[in-house]
Formats: sequence, C-alpha cells, structure tokens
Amino acid sequence: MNRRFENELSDSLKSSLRSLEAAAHDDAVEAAAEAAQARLPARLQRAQGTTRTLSRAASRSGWAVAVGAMIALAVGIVIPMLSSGSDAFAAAQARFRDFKTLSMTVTQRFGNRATNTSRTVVDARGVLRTDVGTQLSVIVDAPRGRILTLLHEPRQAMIAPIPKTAAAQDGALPWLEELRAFKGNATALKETRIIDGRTAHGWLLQLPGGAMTLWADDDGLPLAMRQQGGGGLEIDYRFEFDRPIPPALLSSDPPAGYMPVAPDEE
Amino acid sequence: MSFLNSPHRSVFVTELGESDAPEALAHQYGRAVFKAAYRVLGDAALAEDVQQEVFLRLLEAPPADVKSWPAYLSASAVRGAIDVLRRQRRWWRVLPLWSAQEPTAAPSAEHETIERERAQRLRDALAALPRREAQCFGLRYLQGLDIGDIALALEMSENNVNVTLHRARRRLESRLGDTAAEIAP
Repeated sequence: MNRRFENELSDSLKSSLRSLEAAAHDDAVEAAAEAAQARLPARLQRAQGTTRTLSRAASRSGWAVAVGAMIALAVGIVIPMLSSGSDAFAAAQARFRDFKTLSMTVTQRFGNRATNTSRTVVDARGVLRTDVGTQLSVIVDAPRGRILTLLHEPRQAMIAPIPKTAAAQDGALPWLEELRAFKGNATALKETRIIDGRTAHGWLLQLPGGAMTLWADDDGLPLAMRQQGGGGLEIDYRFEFDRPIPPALLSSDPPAGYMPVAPDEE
Repeated sequence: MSFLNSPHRSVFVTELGESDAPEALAHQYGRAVFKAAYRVLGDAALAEDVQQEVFLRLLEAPPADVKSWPAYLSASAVRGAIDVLRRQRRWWRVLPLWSAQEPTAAPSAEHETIERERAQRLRDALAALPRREAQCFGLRYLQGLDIGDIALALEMSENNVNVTLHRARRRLESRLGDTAAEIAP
C-alpha cells in the first residue's frame, strides 16, 4: 500500500488495506515470489520459441509458409478445444492411469499461508517417494510391502513394513486412485490459466476425499491441481509426467553410506 | 502476427532499447508484478499465473509507447488479478455444491490471524465491486498510482477516475462496515 493516499480513506478501509499489505510481506510470500521469478525466464523462452518458429517461416518462404504454420498451430490449438469438455477431461484422466513416472510439487496452505512444501514422485508400479526439504525422504514400496525412511543429515535409514490398516495401505496418494476411478461429472471452467507457459483448462470435480480443481493443457496433460481440505486447508499440486527418475531414488533398499536403524517400537 | 515478426517490434526495440525486451523487463520487474498480483489475490499460484500472463502478453502484443514500465506493468498486474478475483467469485457463486468449501468463505482456522481475515474480507469486497471500480481502487491504494497514471492505464478521463474511486470507496466502506464488528479485536 502506498501510504501517500491513506488520508483519502476511512479508518476501517485503512486498516483493511494495511492488513492486506502485511499479508503480502511474510516470508512464505517472499519465497513464493522468488520461486515464481526463477521459473519465469524459462516460460518466456518457451513461448518465444513458438513465436520464433513462425517468424523464421515467414522470412524464408514468405507468407504462404507463415500462414501454413499459423493454420497448423491454430488446428493444434483449436481442435482439442472443439472436442467436448468431457473428452478433454477424459484425456487428462487417462494420463493419471498411464504414466511411467509422475513427479509433483505439493504445497499445503492454511488460509493462503504456505505451511509445507514437498516433492513427491510415483512410478507405474506404485512405488512412491516423498522428499520433505533436504532432511527427510520416505519411500513407500507397496510391491515389497515396506517403507524406507531416510534421515539425510545423520545418514540413517529405517525400514518398516507397511501397516496393514486400509488407511495406511492406500494412504500415500488416495486422490490418485479416486481420480483414476472417477465417473461423475467434471464441471469445465470457463476461464483458462497460464501454467508453465501453457494455456491450461480447468475442471471442478467432487471426489470422495473432497472437491478439487484440475488444470490440464490443450493436449490433456495435467499441469496442476488444487484440493480443498477442511478448516481452510488447501493442497496445491504441480505435475510433471514421465520425467526420468534414477531407479535408486525409487528403491526401498538403504542407499550406500546410510546406517540402518531399528524402527521405533509403538 | 507475432511480436518478433511484427512491425511494432522494431519500433519497440528502436525506441526503447534491448533492455526493454520482455525478458529484461521480466528480470527487472517480475517480482514486483508477482507481488502486485498477490496483494489483490492473496494466492501465490494465481499470482504466478498473472505474472506469466503479463509478460507473455508483452511478447504477443507489445505496447507501442510506454512511458513508465513500472507503472505499466503494475497496472497490468492489478487488472489481471482483479479479473481473476472476479472470475473466482463468479464461479464459486454459481456452483453451490462447492460453495461450502469456497476458500474465501471458509470459517476461520486456528492459524488465521485477525489480520488475515480482514485482508480476505477486503479481497471479497473488491471482487464484488464493478470491474472499473476495483481496478481504480487497486491501482490507487495498492499500487499508489496518481490519478493521471490510472487514467492513462485504464483509458479513462481523470474526472471519471475520481468519480469511480469515490464510488469504490463508498461501496467498500459499506461492505466492510457490515463485517467490521465481527472481526474487531
């Protein structure tokens, strides 16, 4: 807030504006601004790449080539949009059913305040790794029925069986199974977003675990998701499909140099 | 027609120099644009979307004559964020199924401070304003633009900006007055 105009405002409006300004200056927002700034050049570069292709086409072969490129681009953009919303959503849903790896950044928020960010990757077998900061990694190896917990600073590794309670067995990514099996109506949103430099279309859907908004590009590639929890909790996901992951990262065998420790007794 | 292939580009680059290319502007003002959008939206993911949109538009349709890039970019960010805020409100309103889980209407969690509630109520009230009023208010009181700059950014007369700001203030005071008693410490 620029306070040089504060005198134009009533006291209640002034204090509301100050609250709004204060909320924009906490550490989480500063970190988010830095992260967004770091991602910005790559996105502009990607967008510019498309523009340059068209520009070169025009200069080499005249308007015919440029117009051809434009038409190809337009067809690529428009045809998926002409298909029904349910088809586009089905394409996005299919991506969650068939991937080699799915990497995601997960940010939890309470009342717009980021409280926790982690990196998660899951492969087609269902092995799932979550890295919380630089200190802790958890690998849930469902095929082998065990969990490997790595504490990186003391270089300790702990292996424990996956608890047999239903919640623990599918507790890793319950929304993924719900989304794969979803057969209800996904409500297409009218507005689009720009995510990772790509135009993203959104759908609202109600899953057993709660409401969520899913965003996917023109090809149906899911880019982001927001899950609504109770009590003001929101969980934001940013997706990346089929990124090569070294097999060792998804192994529940303790890595070299880590000392095995016994699981804590309950 | 693309930015790189348009006649505007040469004018743009010749008059303003390579340092005013979108990449350089993004480097210099990216954070400020993010924060301008965040102040309105209170949501980092949406603010980042607005930030990207502002600079992608510079690539696609560069403005011909910009006297002050900070003013131009912050105005773009506030306008974009106001649009997102209004769209969000519209969607939550027309989808009663999810309205119980609307983030902006969620009951206060333990973690939320009175300050945050107050800020969120102002965002809600801004989203309910007519578009022009919300834009004028955001540019004046969040970005600190002079009346002349707001008039330029929104292609309005200065007199019209003053009238619009007056209406915005009255509407907001009325809306916030209704809830002030609930959140007063």
